[in-house]
Amino acid sequence: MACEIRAEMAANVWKIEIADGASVAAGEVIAILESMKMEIPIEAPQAGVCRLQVTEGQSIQEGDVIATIA
Amino acid sequence: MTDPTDDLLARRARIREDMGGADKVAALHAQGRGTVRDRIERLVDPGSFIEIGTFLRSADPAQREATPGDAKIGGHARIDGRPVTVAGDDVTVKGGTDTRNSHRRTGRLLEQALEYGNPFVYFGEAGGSRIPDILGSESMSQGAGMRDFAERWRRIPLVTAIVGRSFGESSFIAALSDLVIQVRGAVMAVSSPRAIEMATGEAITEEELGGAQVHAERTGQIDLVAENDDDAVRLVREFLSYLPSNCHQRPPRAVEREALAPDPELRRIVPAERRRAYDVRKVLARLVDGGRWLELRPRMGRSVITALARLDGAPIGVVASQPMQQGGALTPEACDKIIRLVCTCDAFGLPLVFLQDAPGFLIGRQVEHNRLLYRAMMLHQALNLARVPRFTVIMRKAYGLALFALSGCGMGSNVLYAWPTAEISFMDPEVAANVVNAPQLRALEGDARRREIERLGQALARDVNPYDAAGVMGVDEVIDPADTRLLLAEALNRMLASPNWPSGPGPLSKWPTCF
Repeated sequence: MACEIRAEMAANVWKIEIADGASVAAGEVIAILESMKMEIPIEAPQAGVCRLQVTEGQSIQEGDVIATIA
Repeated sequence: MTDPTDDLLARRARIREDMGGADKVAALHAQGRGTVRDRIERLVDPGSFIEIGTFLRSADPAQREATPGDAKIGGHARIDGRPVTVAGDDVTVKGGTDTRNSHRRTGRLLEQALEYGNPFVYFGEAGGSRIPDILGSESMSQGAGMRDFAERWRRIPLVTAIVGRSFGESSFIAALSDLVIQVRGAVMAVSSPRAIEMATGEAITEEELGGAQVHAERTGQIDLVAENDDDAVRLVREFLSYLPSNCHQRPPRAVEREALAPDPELRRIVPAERRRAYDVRKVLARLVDGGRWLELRPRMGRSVITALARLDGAPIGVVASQPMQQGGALTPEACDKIIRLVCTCDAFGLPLVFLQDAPGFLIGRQVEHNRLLYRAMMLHQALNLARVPRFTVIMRKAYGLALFALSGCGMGSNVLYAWPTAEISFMDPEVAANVVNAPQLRALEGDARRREIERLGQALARDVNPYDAAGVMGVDEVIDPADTRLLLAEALNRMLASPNWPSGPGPLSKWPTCF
């Protein structure tokens, strides 16, 4: 099952931790957001091939898709 | 001559099966929607519904035939074997509108539920008061139906599910309830968009006015959104499963228990890097029975999670900082959400567990103008009035007013533990470094300034560790996070036999349900 990882809060994309198209394990950190001076790790909810929808430094809003995993 | 019993059965079947008209019932089913009878049937144990007021009808003689049940139905039943009282609006009759007559049934049911100590569940979709019946001084001088509900004082749980277009009394009952569920697509308001447009010219859709999203994210006037009727019924049952039937009983403890053992995984959830957030739901999943809980108001005040769960089989309320949202900083909305949980748990004897990781309260114009002061102090007052045991674990940050607002040091918690990662102080060391060293920092810029703040912050951070608090008995103990579930369960078991365990109405029972 493919899934979308959406932002739960408005934030900046601080770091991308994987390459676009990489295979990830469940629980692996895909990106780290920065909001309210906190680093917020975004983890893969399931294993699969990860397609990034954001780039480092980008501002994102709540509900925006960060990545998809298929 | 017709047999009297046959006559009764025929009359009863006509009212219960056809309701406001077989065509209207069929139309609802064709839309994929249920009638109020369908909902009650799905909510209660099979065959347990005992109806009263079947033969109620409009007080207006001209409307008698057109108003079977007078637009409401209700009675007594069982959920999971426990007696409950249930009622709701019947939209197949005059849009489910309210009349003085229809309230006779609802009022009697509530009176009985209170007397027998049974939870009350309402399915709301009333089209408001019925016009013209309500018009005129003869009708209005008879008083308001919701007074009975306002005087419930949390003696029994009151749950409302808004399942359709709700204006008037069903909205009022919702606001006076312990739990309000709104089905997506339903609307809850005092006045309908039509009445608003006629009176003021303001044009607004039902969804914008009182849709589930508006209430879940902006007004905070509901606790849960249900995807459909079945989901609403499931949520009602789940909520009630945590509560006793009334304020004089103990909450129902699960018979099956899980073994209590140290859980080393709890040591690994809080990141070593203090700026790094984590999802507190990972802690909850390992702390409460079965990793299962019912989160309330998930879209309001999101820097804390409030939930009902079980610990060693006993129902508890949980208040947990959520560092993934605003770093876990408390907000006015978060205070409201915590107060609501504290009131429900205190009224029905559920101990409260607080899990702290809050860098403080959010500061600034927006929160100050949103009555941060009043709402933070209101939370203080609620905590000080609470009678149920409170267990607090400082997992990481516990700064400033947030330390106290989350039932921390000196707030009367029965158990106050700190994890070794705990940081306790008046303000975050980096913020404090800014304040204390303002003149010398003004001379610096860019990276040099950032490095200096970090250096000064690290110096100030040395005394935020939990051992200095433990050294003056400010916390009961610094504990291995792995033992948290075990120790909280032991504390709970120690207290469950206490002769001082609260029972009956307490001061918080009379705290308003809507504030």
